[in-house]
Amino acid sequence: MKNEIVHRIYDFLKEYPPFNLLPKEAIMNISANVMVKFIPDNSILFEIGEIPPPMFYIVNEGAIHLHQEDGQMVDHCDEGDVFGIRPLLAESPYLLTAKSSEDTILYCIRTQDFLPYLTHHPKILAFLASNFAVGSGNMFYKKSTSPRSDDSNNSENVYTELFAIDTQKTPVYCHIQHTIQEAAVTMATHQIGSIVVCDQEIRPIGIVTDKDLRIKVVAGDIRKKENISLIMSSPVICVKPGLSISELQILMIKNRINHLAVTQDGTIQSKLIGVVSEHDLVVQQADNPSILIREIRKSQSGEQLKRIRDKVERLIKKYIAQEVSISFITQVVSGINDEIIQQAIRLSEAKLGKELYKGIKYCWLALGSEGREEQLLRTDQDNALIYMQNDSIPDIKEKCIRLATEVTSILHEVGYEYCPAEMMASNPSWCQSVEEWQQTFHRWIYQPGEKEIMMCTIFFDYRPVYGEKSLVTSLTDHIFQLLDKQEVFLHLLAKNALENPPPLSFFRNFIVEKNGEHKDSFDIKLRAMMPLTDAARLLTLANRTGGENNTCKRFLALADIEPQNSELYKMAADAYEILIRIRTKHGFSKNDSGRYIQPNEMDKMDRLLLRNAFQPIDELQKLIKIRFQLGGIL
Amino acid sequence: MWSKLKQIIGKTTSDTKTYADFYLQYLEAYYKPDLKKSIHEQSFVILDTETTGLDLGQDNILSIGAVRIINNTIDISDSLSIIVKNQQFQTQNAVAIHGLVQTDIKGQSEGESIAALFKFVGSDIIVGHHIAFDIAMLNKLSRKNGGGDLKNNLLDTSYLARRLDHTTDPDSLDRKEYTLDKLCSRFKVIPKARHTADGDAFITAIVFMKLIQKLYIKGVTSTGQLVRK
Repeated sequence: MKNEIVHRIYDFLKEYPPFNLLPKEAIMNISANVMVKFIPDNSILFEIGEIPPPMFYIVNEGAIHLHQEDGQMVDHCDEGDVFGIRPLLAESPYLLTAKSSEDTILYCIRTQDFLPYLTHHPKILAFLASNFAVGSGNMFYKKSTSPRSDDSNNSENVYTELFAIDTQKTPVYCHIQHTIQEAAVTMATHQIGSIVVCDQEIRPIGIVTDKDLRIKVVAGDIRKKENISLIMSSPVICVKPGLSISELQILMIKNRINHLAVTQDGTIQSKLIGVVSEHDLVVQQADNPSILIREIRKSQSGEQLKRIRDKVERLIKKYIAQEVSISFITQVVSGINDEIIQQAIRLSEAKLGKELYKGIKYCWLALGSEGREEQLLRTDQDNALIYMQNDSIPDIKEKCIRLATEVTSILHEVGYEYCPAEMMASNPSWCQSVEEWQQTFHRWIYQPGEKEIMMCTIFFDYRPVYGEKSLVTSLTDHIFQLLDKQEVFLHLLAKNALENPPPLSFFRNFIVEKNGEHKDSFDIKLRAMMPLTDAARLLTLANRTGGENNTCKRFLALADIEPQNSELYKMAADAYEILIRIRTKHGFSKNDSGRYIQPNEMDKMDRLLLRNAFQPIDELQKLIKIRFQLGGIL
Repeated sequence: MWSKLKQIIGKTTSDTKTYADFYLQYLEAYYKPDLKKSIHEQSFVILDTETTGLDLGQDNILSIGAVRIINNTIDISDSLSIIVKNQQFQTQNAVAIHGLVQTDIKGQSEGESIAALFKFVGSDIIVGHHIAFDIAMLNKLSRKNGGGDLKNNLLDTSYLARRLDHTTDPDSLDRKEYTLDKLCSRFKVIPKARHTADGDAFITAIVFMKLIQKLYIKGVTSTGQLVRK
């Protein structure tokens, strides 16, 4: 019997996580036992300390606010949001109060109906765990330790392409009766390095390559009027269509050959449909990072570098689509970015005259997101140059500025916009000797104004990319000495780190601010990423641990240094990875920097992940407030 | 209480009629609602029937759907969805509305259906949209199968909505403005799966919960106040 009510419930549940992760029968079973509850506006559903009934809730329509004991709102649930899942995961009283802010209809799911599915669906557990974290702060989204964070069928190495190679192009072949010359003419006409020799039914019998022609005909004693079969290799190794690059590669290595014939059924008994050469595989693999790096080192112009950087973009898209872990992607991409900068510097030196730079000790610094090894999308250039003053070489500063001007113009060609604030090594105040930089930092740290603090937030993420790295180490040591004598500076940096608290949550198509205000666009950089990078930088400087710039790695290092806060720091690291992923995804889909996100552009899962990422930010800011005693200043 | 019950039974059995078991069981268990109870403690059955037409004399029930509400909660596992096996041909008209075709139906017999309905309803207050017609049809089916009439208090969501809008003289309002579709759009209930008995019963139930909440705010807090005409 078809029950319309159950179908109605089913139609709703199937749209939302975690139910959308379940098979149809499971959702139907759950739907048949749902309780539909009407909660009038402004009524309390449950209170802190209450023992939960054996059920949890999903909002069908309306809105529910979750509050802490102090009245602070922790979450705002609307259509499709799941809450009150405590009874599923733990037998303990509610930690939050749930109150409706509109007339609300809830579907109550009995835990007994849902529990059986938990064990068989790890994704559901992950979803609930992340949901559970809201307001309790002790569990978080999946850890990404493997290169590919999706735990199912992930044995493939991400360096190897997983995609089937296209072998559908019309194969070029010659008949077994042809002479060597006829075959050679066909090869020349089609500009190919090899040709398959076939019988009347176009079944492959042998293969002839350039090498055979060279060795056996030109340098050998076989005449070109003779039959092609005299010089061909036979039999041909055949494969069926649709194999992946790695499979083809293995076959070539195993058989010590460079060509494979593709036939209809993969045997020599069927018709030839294509030929794959090792070269084809290399071309297909062009997006492979190690090959990209090789190409970068061979590049002779900004234009060539740009083409390679465009390929990197494709590679990132593929990684994001395959849910490769962010720490792996950022590592690969910043490695490639570094190579591009290094090549740009080599090209510039060569252009201006290598002998001009002989003996000059300098180091190129990447600042900002590239300094933190977090740059996936091409953003503005932020860089600086530090050089060693040497009185025996004239005009070092001018030479360095000329070099930097050349490098930044190449990078601009590659697609990195010039920094609108001129924070580039081509700017004389960002191209300084070690002594000058020490004085600059002395000024910033001892007379910190708003501008100086901003400079510091950008500059403190410096990372040597090319040249004399020892120059940077001595600068870092100097800065730490200055900080030891000027604790006030860190307080100002702390104050700056608290400037942008994260919003509370999402509600329908709005951002909900802590004061209840709704906004329709979300600045993920300003409101979520910067607070985390600022916090990581501040706490790292406070601990005087130099050398680590990456926000995630900084948090993980902090987790080791301060075991009492390690849970929070690990959560912050995870949150940051999620933010990078969401920003990159949106940047690609909208073809921009991904910085501004409209809530309606996100699916439920992304919204939830984003909302969960706000929480460690909030806790970090509280910690900073206390540690740097900012109660009074704020 | 017991004497009251005897009174009811006495009255109905006075016409020297022997009722079918389902009806006797219903009568035996039936009690009048406690009118002092808060409306949130009272148990309501929201029901809807689909019929072959609107002629009480000629037409028959095709399906019955019902859900129960206690304290603003519907338990889906405690709901009723019956398709009545009907010997008679249905009119073209009903097919057009309900999309039910006789050959599709593998329902329950009339006797089983009406017995299940009486058992489900028990002593709850019965709620429906234009409930009088559904009750008349159910009573007809009951009598045909050896039973008698439903004794439950009745509430009409169409009337309750008019009462909400006009406390002193609800009947002065135009009934055409209070169709289920109009109430759905007013109370933001998506009228999905309409024109199946259980689908309509569920929609009516959501409308009813929202309606009595509005009435509650206007001071209709007890069962007695709710059922007064």
